[in-house]
Amino acid sequence: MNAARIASIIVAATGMVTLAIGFFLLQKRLELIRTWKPVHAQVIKGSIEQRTDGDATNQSTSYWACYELTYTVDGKIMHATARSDDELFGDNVMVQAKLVRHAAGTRGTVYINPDNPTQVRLNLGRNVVTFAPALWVLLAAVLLLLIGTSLWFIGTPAIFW
Amino acid sequence: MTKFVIFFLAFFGAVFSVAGSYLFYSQVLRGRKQTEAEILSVDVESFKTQDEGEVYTAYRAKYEIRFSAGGRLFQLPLSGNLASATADEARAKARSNPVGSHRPVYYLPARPEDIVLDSLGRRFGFCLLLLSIGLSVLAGSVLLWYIAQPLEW
Repeated sequence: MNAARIASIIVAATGMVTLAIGFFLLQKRLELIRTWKPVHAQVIKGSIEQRTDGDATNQSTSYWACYELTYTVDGKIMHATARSDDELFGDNVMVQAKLVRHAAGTRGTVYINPDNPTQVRLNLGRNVVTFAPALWVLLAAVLLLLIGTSLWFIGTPAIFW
Repeated sequence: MTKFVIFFLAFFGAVFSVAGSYLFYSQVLRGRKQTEAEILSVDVESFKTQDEGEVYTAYRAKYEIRFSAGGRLFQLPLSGNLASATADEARAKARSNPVGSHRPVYYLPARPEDIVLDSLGRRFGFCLLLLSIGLSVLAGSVLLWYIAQPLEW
């Protein structure tokens, strides 16, 4: 067996492992969506959380929207704080726009952990962002499997003239 | 900045996909046929090649081959696919294809003078590699585009 075919087996095997990890992540996400309950929450207060990374000459700041929320679970009024999954870079204009959209008193759907109702997730719908980590891994798996297949064919013994 | 990166990736992926599709069409789908070519003469020729901007003279075997395609006989010159640093080295490599021996070549039925030396498997592999990279990068840029959209909260 030549080098290309050995490489193809290694790459394809890595692809299969990656595929299994991707399906595991996908399954976890689907389970999360299935088990976490949507509730109508009211915003008490919104704020901006920021973090600055890098040294003095090369700094970058990330911003997140944070919300204090109140909602009812089984007749009990709950309070929780949640941070947006959206990490925004550069300036906080987009975060301010979010805080205007979800100003104090406005209502919206959030998702709570049924085992611990103070745990809140803000964006847990059936959308691309929810599945992004699993989709990245699955994409990498497909790429590895395709490269493995390509290498197998490239490994067809060549006739040199 | 994010948009620029996404568009750059999409462009890169599209170029690879188009190039891979074209190669796939020209090298695999057009259906080259295999035939045995008889080597009539063997010689060595020099050619110019570039490596990191430097132009070098390299050597390769030069054959005269004869093969039958579509009921007709064709006699064509054919350059070897192995480059050597010296003429002697090229001559030594060409010894495995002596005059009178038969080797497979792949021709287009519509243009039998258009021949390649790589088998279908190898050509398929290279096209698939190019297409895989192109389509994966394209899919990645679409995924990035969706992720870059602001979330509801």
